[in-house]
Amino acid sequence: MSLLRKKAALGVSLILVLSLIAAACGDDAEEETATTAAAEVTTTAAAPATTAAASADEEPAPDDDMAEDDGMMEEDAAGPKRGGDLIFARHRDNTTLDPGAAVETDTIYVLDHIFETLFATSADGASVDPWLASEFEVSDDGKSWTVTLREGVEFSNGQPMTSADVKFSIQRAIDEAAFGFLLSAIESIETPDDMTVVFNTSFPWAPFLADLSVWAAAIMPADYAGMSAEEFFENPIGTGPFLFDEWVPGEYIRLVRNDNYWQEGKPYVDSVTWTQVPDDNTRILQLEGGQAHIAQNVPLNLLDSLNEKEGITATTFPATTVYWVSFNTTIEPFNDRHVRRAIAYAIEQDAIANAALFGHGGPACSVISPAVPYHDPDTPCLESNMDLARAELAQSSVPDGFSAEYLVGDQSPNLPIVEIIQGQLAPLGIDISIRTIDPGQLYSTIFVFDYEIAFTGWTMDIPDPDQKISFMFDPELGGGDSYSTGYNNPEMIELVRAGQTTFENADRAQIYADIQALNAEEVPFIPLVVLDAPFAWSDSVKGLWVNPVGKRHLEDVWLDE
Amino acid sequence: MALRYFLRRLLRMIPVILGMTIIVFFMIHLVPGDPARTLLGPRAPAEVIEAFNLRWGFDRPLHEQFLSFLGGLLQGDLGTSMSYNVPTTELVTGRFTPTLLLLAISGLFAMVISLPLAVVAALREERTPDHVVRVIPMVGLGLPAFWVGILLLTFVALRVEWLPVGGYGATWPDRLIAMILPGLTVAIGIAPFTIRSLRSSLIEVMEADYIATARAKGLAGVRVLWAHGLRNAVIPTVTVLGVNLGWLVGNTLIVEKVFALPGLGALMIDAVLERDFPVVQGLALIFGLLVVLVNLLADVVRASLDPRVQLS
Repeated sequence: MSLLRKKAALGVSLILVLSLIAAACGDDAEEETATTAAAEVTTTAAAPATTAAASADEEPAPDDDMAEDDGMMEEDAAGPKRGGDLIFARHRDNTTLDPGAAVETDTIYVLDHIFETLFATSADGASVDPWLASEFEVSDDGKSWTVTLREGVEFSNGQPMTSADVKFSIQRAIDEAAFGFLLSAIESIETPDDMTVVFNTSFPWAPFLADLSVWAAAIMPADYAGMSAEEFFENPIGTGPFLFDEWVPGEYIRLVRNDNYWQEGKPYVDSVTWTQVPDDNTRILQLEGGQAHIAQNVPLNLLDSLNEKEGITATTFPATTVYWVSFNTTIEPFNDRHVRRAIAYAIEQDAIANAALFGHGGPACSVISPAVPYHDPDTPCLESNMDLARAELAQSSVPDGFSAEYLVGDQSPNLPIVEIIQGQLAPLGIDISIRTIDPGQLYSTIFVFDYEIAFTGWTMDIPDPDQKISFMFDPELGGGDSYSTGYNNPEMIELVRAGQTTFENADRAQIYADIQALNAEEVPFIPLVVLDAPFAWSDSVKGLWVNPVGKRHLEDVWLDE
Repeated sequence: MALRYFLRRLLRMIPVILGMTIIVFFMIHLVPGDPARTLLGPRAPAEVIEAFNLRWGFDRPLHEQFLSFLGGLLQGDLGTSMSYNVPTTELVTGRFTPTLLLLAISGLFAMVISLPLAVVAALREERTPDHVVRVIPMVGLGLPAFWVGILLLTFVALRVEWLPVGGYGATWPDRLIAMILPGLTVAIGIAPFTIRSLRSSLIEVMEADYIATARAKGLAGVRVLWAHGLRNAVIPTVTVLGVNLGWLVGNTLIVEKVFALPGLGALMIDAVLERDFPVVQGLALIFGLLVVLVNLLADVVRASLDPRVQLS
C-alpha cells in the first residue's frame, strides 16, 4: 500500500518534472504565434524569378498526361508536370480549419490554400494586388472603396462567388475573427450587383487593401453554404487551389486538388500533405531520406551544409521579421534617451548578424524590414561607435553605468544575440544579466511591464507597415502601450496617424521615413537583425517560392519525380 | 479474494488521484505564463484577450476554476483544448495508440535484450562476459534518448529502405515497422535496469535449494534454468519495470518527438509549451493513472508468477 503510493508518487512527480523542464526549456522549433513566428515567416522577392528561370532550364520532356490536359499549361509543352503528392514537413500542426479562429502562422499557411482573399501580397512583398477581386476604385474622400470581383471564380462545390459571399465573409470576419480588428475601419458593406462590393469606412483608411489581404478576411460561401458554422469548418468550402481532405491532429493534414480552381491548369500536384515533425534533425533526415519534399524551419547553422548535399536545396527567403532591443521606458534609467542612445551606439549589428545568423539575414537599421513597403534604406541610424557611446552615457543620469536585466525568450537564435550584446555593453559599465523565459511566455511578461530590457521583434501579416507601426508607437490606437515600452511621443503619434490617412504614395513614404528616422534618433527600439526564413527542399520540387509575409502559393509548385 | 484485493486497490487509487489532480492543476497554473497571450500572440488587441479569458473562465478565482475542473472530471469531462478547440478526451483518444504501442514494444525489446545478456552474465558470474554485460549496457543509460534516436535515424533509417525516417504509418504493419527504432531507443535506456536486476536475482535464485533439488532430480541444465531459475528470477524484474514506468513514460515524451510519433507525449509537450491547461491537466492525470494501473498490473503479474506473493 505504501509502496504503491510511493511508486505512484514517483511516477507523477517524474511526469511533472518533465513537463516543467519542457516548459522551462522551450525549444528551437517551438513557435509562438503568428507574429513572432520568426524563422518561418518568410519570403522572397527574387524567388519567383529565379525559380521560373530554373524550371525553364531543366524542363522535362512533355509527358502524355499533360498533352491531354490541353490548355492547362500556357508555358508550352515544356511546362510544369501535373500530378504527384507533395509532402511538406513542419514542426507543428494546424489548430483549426477556421480562418476566423486562426492566429498562428502554420495554421494560416495551410488555410491559405483552402480559402483566398480579395487582395493578396505580391511575390516581392512590395504591393497588394487584386486576387479574388479584379479591380478597385477609391472615392475622393478616401472613405468608399468599390471592388469588382474576378469573373469565373467558383467555390470548390461549384457555386460561383458573388458579392453576397464577400459581404457575408467580411462581416463575419469583423464580428467574429480574432484578427477582425484589422477590418474595424469598415462601417458598412453594400452589394449593388453580383460582382461589385462597396466598402464604406468610417474614416479615410490608407492600409485598407492590405488589411483586406489578411487571412481572416477569407472569402467563404454566404451562410456557410447552408450549413451550420460547425459543420462547415469540419469540411470547409473555399475558392482556394486545394480542398480539405483529411486531418489527423498531431500527424498530418492533407488537402487535395480543387478541380474548380479559377487559375487555369493549377494546382499542379494532386495533393499536399503537411506532416508534423517536431524535431529539427528529424525533419532534415526525412528530406534526405525522401520521406518529405519540403522542410521548413531548418536551423540556420545547418543550412549551408544541407545545401551541399546532393539533391537538396537549402536556403532562405527574405522575410519581414526584425528583432530589436526594446526598453521599458516607464522606469529609470531607460526613460532617459541618452541611455538608450548610448546602448544603440555600443551595439554592433554586423557582429550579431554574422555570429548568430550564420550569414542568413543581416544587420537591421530600421524597424521596418527591407522586404516591407516603405522601408527607408537611408534611415539615419546610430552607427556603432564606442566613443560616441561613452559621450552619450556621460550626458545621462547614469554616467558610470548601471546594471540591468535583459529578458529573452529561450529560442533560437535569441540567446547568442543577447550574449553578444551583453559583451558589447560591458565596456560602458553596463552590467547585463540575462533572464531567459519560455518563448511563449515572453509577451505575457512584457505586457505587464515586468522587465527592464527585452528581446522582441515583429513579423508582418500584411504588406503594410501600419499594423506594426501603430502597435509600436501609438500607445492608444495600437492598444499595446507602444509594444509595452510605454514610449509616448506626441510627434511620433501624429506621424503614425498621418500614415493611416494619407493615400498619396510619396507622401506616405515620407511619413514612414520620418517615423523610422525618429525611432533611430530616440531609440525606444534598437533594431538588431533582419531574419530570413529558412527552407530546404528536394530537387524534385519545382516552382517553390515564399513571399515576405510567408505565403507559399503551393498551387505553383510541381513535382519532377 | 483476488477480486476483493483488486477492488480495494482501485479504491485506494482515489485519494492518490485526487492528490495528483490538485498538484497538477495548481502547478500548471502557477508556472508563469498566460495562455491568452501565448495563443493569441502579442498583436492580439486587449478586447480579444479579455474575451478569451472570459470564455475559458480565467477571469475567475483559481479555486473556482479548480472546482469546475473537478466537477467536469467527475462527469468524465477533461475540458476543452484551448489550442485545438475540441474536447480534451477526444484529442487524447486518438493519441493513445502510438504511446501504448511504443511502451509495449519498448518493454518487449527491453526483455529481448535483457534475457540472454542477464543469463550469460549470471552463469559466468565475475568472469569476462559478466563484466562486459554489466558495463556496456550502462552506456545506454548515459546516452540521452533524443541523441540515440537521431543516431538510429541517421545511421539505420536512412540506410535501410524499409524503415521510415520517423512518422507513424497508416496501416498496422507500417505502424509496427515505424515502432522498431523508437522502441529500440527506449529499450536501450531501460535495458540497463532490467539486465542488472535480472542478473542479480538469477544469481541468487540459482543458488537456492530448489535449484539444487531440480539438478539432483537429473533435470537438464536448460530446463533448470528456464523453468526454475528464470521463472523465479523474473519476478523482481517485473517490479523493476513497473516502478520504472514513470521514467519510461517520461522517456517516450522525448522519443515521440524525435520520431514524429503522434502520441500522448508529443501532445503533452505541445500543450505545456502552449499553456493549454485542460490538455496538460488531462494528460498528467492520464499518465498518473497509467503509472498507478501498471503498478497494480505488475503486482498481479508478480502474484501469478510467484505463489508466495499474497494478494492481500
